[in-house]
Amino acid sequence: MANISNLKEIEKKVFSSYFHDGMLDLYGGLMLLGFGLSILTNKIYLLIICITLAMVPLLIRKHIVLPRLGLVKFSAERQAKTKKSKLIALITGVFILFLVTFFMALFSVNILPAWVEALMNDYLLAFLGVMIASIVAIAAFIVKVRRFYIYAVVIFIVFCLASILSPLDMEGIIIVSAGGIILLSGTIIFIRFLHHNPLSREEIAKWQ
Amino acid sequence: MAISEQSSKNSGTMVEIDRLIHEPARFNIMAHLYVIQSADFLFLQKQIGLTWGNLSSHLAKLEKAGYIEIEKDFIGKKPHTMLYLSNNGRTAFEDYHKRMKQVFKHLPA
Repeated sequence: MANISNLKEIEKKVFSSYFHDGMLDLYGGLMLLGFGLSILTNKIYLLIICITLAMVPLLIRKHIVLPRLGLVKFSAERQAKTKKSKLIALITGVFILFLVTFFMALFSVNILPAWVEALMNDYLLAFLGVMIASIVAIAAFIVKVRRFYIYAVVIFIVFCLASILSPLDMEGIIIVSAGGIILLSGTIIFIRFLHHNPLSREEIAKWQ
Repeated sequence: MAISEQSSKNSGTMVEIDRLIHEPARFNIMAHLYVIQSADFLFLQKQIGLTWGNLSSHLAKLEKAGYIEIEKDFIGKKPHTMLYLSNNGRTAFEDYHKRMKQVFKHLPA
């Protein structure tokens, strides 16, 4: 009974167990893969294809994950906390988007000081890495899944490496590799989830 | 001193514990339902790790005591069972928690 005596721990475990299906990993991995492929091939439609494919995990969650996981309604306190965290993430996302658009607009009309332009030319991917890693870290904080913090660090390192290696035209390959790693990790987690949560006879009968 | 006399003296100092909640599997069910609003049968089963029949039997006992409420409805054409702690169950669980704390209060660390 020692492992179930802390109610806060139980609540945390129950909440994070709702995200141990690898769907968020698949979603993030596909987005990153699309971004990397579009840089690598200079074909923007690959990014659009990957963003469209990233919607597939949502369908998988509805039709494959939930019949195995079951349904839960969290406490009002947890719902309020999640709503607040989502709002913070949304505000951060909008702020980052605004910042990127603002700097890109200034960059395109050449009114930025020379040193800022040089900095953006040299470290654009690193800046982007910081932004994407921040969003992933916020997601990790919201869903309380530790591996997302690792993804945030991986993304940050990968984008810094891409920024350093961009004169060698290797940034696309590096970002594709990062997307691939996250996608692979998500796939393994999903397969493990399916293995640990087979549909029971009762469930098969119920969902048919 | 007779054994029965000693036993009755000891029982006077003992705190009354709700045996229905004290059973580990039922304690686990109550603890899980206490920290969430509601869950369906499948979710609770996966979290607690009991078999279908075992969970059903514990839930029936808890429902009989009025600690949990079981709501059966349909999602589309599929039958669906949602479980939640009743106000009575919530109070009983808090009371159990208080009493257990009291039992171990004077235990040396």
